[in-house]
Amino acid sequence: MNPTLQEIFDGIVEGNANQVQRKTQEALEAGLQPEIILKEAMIAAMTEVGRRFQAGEYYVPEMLIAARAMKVGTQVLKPHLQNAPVESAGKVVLGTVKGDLHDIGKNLVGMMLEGAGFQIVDLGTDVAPEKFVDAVRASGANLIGMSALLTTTMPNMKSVIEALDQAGLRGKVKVMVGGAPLTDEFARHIGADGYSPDASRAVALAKSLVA
Amino acid sequence: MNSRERVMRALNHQEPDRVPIDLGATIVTSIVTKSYVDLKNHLGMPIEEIKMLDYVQQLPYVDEALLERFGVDFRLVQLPAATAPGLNIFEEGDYYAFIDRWGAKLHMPKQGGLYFDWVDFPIKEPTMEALDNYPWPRPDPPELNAQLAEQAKKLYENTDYALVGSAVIGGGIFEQPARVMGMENFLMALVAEPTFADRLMEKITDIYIESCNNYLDQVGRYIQVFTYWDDVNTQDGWMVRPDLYRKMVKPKQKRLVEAIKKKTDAKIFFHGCGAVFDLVPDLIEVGFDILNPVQVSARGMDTQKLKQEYGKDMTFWGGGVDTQRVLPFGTPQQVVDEVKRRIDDLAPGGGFVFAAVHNIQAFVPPQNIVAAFDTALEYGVY
Repeated sequence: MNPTLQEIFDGIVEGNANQVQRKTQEALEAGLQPEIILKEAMIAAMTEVGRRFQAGEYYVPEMLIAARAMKVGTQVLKPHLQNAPVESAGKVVLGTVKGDLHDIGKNLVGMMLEGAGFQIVDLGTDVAPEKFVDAVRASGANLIGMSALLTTTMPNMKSVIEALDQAGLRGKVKVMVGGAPLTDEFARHIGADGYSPDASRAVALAKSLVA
Repeated sequence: MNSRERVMRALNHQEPDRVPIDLGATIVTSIVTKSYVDLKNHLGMPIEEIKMLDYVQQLPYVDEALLERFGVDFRLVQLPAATAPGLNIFEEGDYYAFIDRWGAKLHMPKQGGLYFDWVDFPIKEPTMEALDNYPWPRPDPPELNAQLAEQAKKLYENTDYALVGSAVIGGGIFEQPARVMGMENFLMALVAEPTFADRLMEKITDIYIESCNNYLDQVGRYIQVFTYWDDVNTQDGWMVRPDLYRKMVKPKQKRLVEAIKKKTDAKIFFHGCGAVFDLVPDLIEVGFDILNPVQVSARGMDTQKLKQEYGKDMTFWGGGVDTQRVLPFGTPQQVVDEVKRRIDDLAPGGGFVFAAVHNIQAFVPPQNIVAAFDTALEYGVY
């Protein structure tokens, strides 16, 4: 790998936002293509972060500072990417379902998906079914990610799937779900397309659903 | 054998006449108001005034009639943790809101809301200036502890119940920073700004020690159990690197526990959700005597293995029935089977107090709750 790209990669993996910012600037000045910087340094780095998390080498804080470092890098890249649009891995509408204000898990999934090249429309917490529907319509997303921490709010995921059905959008959008009390079985039972137990595996799931 | 003797035998790892039973003696072994009302209606018990113990989790003070119905061996002697007296709940758009005693704002959806959750935080930047300028909360005033002491004395002298209390005025030493600066910001500060994170946690420890000292000076001689809570794990294992926990969090928990033990002979109860199997040796070193909630649905939380590995040193208080799947979604018979299985695993030799895994949540069928507690009472006989 080009040494500057390697330093961007390392900066993200180590969560060093300053290094990522500096080296991304340097890479652009040296004439490296923004989409190369994004794909070969940044997205590759977040893939490595996901691998380390899954292997038990990284924990939540390391994942968070890596995502923060990547964000700083993509902000440097953004003005340059607009001239050379990069093919997106997919567009995901994310939200914690109605009645539930917990968002750490959802945010981690958002960061990891963004790190994998997905575009994210984050609706926040306590999101009503019609808001999911409106957001899918407005954004043209091909994937929805729903989160719930509570046994008492997870049934609201089913309401969202029903609302998508009624709006005639269910065939156009895949649905993935996650959250502490969920299981694969529950996901199947409510008619979701997939369940992921953590943020790292959510990326693999999202990729397989939009493939 | 009366309740206090039963509990003391169990906590000293001896078999009493039956497994002691808890509901409502802590803010992590209780029942949310919604299910409390459903349960009392189901049992045909009149509901008088509902007094709120914990606004965040919407937990009421469980009344005497229900405690007696289930054979609960404990009584609670504690003030609300996260909220100071004179709490003001106001409306903000689609939410009910209040400011906790640390200056953080919480919201509960007006429609379908079941809890308050933290949405805005007083510490915005991980800097020493932010800590210098932050108005730290004060422990409850002495007159409130005097009232508690009076209540504790009465219960101690006139009843046989084991008494349980706490004066931790917030989340645990690891949890509370997330409630004053946001969870993501705190987790990042732990690895990126460790000096800041360390000072924040030390200061919180100082405040807890002061609060616990004030409480224990007046109440300490009456209580048998002192409760502390600190979620440092996820359902899959460690939330942070184990060596980070051991270097930055554990010494502060130890400082607090040592301070508490200077003031009371009570056993110290640790509540930590999730997959804590690998944390238990650290908890034993810190000086905790009791483990709760024993989240049986989390990774590696096999009750047989827990008992085998740690049963000599730790009392298990909880794990009596899974709250994520069996209690809310199972049949009464599945609940009965689950309770029997957990008693078989955890009760031999003492060192077990029956309680559900964490607070009983909303929309749990009252039949299931009755099945759980009735089974514990009958099947828990040694």
